[in-house]
Amino acid sequence: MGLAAVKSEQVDWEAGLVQRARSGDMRAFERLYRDHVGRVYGLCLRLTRDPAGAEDCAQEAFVNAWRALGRFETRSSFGTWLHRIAVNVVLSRRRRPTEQIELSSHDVEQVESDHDWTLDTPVEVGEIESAIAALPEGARDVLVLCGIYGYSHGEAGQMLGVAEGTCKAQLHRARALLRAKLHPEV
Amino acid sequence: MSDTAPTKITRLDELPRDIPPPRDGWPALEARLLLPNGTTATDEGLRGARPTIVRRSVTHRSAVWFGAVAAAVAAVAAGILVDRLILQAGHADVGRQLTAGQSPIQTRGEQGGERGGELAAAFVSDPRYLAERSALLASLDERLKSLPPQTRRQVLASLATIHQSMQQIQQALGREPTNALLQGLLIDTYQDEMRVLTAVQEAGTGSGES
Amino acid sequence: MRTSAFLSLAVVTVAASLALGTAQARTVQQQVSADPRGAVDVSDVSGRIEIIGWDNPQVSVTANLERDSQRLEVKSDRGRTSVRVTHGPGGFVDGGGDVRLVVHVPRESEVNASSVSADIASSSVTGAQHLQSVSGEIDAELGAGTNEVKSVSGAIHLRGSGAGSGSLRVTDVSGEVKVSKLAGDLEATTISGDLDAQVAAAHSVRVHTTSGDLELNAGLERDGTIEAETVSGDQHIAASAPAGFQYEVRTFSGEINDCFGQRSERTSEYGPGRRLDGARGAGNGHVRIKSLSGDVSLCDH
Repeated sequence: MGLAAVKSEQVDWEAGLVQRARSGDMRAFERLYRDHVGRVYGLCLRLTRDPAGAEDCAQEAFVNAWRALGRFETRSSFGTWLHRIAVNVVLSRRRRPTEQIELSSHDVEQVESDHDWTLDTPVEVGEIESAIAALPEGARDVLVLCGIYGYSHGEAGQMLGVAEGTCKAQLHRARALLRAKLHPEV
Repeated sequence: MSDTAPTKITRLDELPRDIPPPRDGWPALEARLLLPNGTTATDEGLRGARPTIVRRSVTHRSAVWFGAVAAAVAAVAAGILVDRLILQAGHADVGRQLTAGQSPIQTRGEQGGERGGELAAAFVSDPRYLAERSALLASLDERLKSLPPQTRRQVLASLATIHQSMQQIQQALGREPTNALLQGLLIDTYQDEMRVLTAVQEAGTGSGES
Repeated sequence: MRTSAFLSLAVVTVAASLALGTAQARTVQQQVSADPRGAVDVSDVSGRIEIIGWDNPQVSVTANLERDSQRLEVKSDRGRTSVRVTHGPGGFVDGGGDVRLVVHVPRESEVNASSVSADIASSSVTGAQHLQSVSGEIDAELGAGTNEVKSVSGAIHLRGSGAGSGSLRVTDVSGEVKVSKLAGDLEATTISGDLDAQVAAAHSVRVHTTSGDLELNAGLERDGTIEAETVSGDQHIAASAPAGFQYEVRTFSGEINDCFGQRSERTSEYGPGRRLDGARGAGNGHVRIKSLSGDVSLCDH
């Protein structure tokens, strides 16, 4: 509850900044940039695995956000909206479409229980980041959005332009691959 | 990367969501946002509301674009004129000429209306930069006079090199206004000019003073 | 007759000397006690400044003065020693006589030397050095510590002394810059001069020229970075890092060549611009190279 209240205040404060930025106030947009660039860059970096590419993507995301400020609805989260834009930038820069996997009915039951992300054995941050970076694109995208950034299957699916079911399948696949890579029970 | 001991985690959402970029991208971003295709206000802002930075903006996107192209052409012409004057006439009145608006830097303070500024506005519109540059230019001629002749010639040649670089980059930006490489290089050449002006200032204020 | 002619000649000579105010050149020496880790400030307008580190807790100055009006002033106070050449009532007049200073300083001193056209040379100093000249050449051996060297048009030649890792910031507007055997971080900028640097064990190397050519041979620390930029100058970069490095090369209209058998690709289907991205090994070193129209060549160390 407390967190929701804090988040609500943050959204309101941000709404003021967005409103000012929308009317051309560059300083307000700079404030928004500084508040969100870390997450946007982190997202781009994990999706692209390329620091220079991630910088480009992050910049592009903020340019696109500036142009589209008029279409942002202030009652929703500016951060989520930015992430959507960033994911679009990443996807548009990829040369070929991300592979999609089929999900069998047998897998569906397994997938439904995929929200338990606790590792039985602690793993070093560097090791798990490397393992995530080594995942195939589709699996990595979903794992990053859902596992690290906390988006639901539906939200991640919307960002990635895939069906919710596909997201669930990719997540299941990502977990299996990580388990194989890291050995500990994931 | 720091050399602190690695952290171990048990949940993926313990991984840091915030990763600071390796460099501050705001200056380049701001420069892009103020370029013609970036607009100086949001799309809706241009059509409807009164933008708070209306003095930077131009009403219509096409006018912004043509204004930027005109500025680039004017910059090339002005730069060539200034460099010819500098190299032919020596140091005389260099500072005054650069301040009087014949610099290849088309600053907002030195040009009117839509003719200047879009291409370099973000950097050169900063009030602190403008004040510092004006101060250095005001004393440039005096400082140049105090330099040994060979050094004076070399400084003027370096300034000409910088201005030629600015022209080349601005011409390229006229064709590719969103090119981040060009934007970064352009800002660096402005900093190079400041570096030279500062070096001349320091050289004339007691280096080797006896 | 001959005696009177000789006397007349002598009178004329003395009169001429007095009128010119030069008399004969003379050598002056002064020595003061100094803090072994104190600061030494040396300034000279034209001529030559030579600074030599030694193991004595003294600053010793030898000056060759060309004019009577020139005076050597050496003062030491609270850990700071200042060495200046002053001129007489007429002040310094352009071309007013070269002065050659040889200054022995405690090896670990912080040395600040400045001149207009005097050349500056330093050796055997392990403390931080701040050397600047307008048009004089600077030739120095650098120790550990934070060193800064600046010139407007003089050439700068610097080398590491092997006395530990330091850092160096060097700026030259039109003179060439050469740095060899530097251990530590480097930031080097020229506008039209060429830049040639050899660096080892660096965490950060930032080199920039506008129209000069850039030659860099750099060994990085584990997470070290190289940032190299020219506008129209060509670049030749050889880099190495423990376990390797990642690289990103961008040019607008220059060529990109490398020793790795990789081919650069266009950044845009419709316009100029080339890029080359890759990695040598799996290390965390970074090499970022940018140029507008200069050609770039990248190799391993």
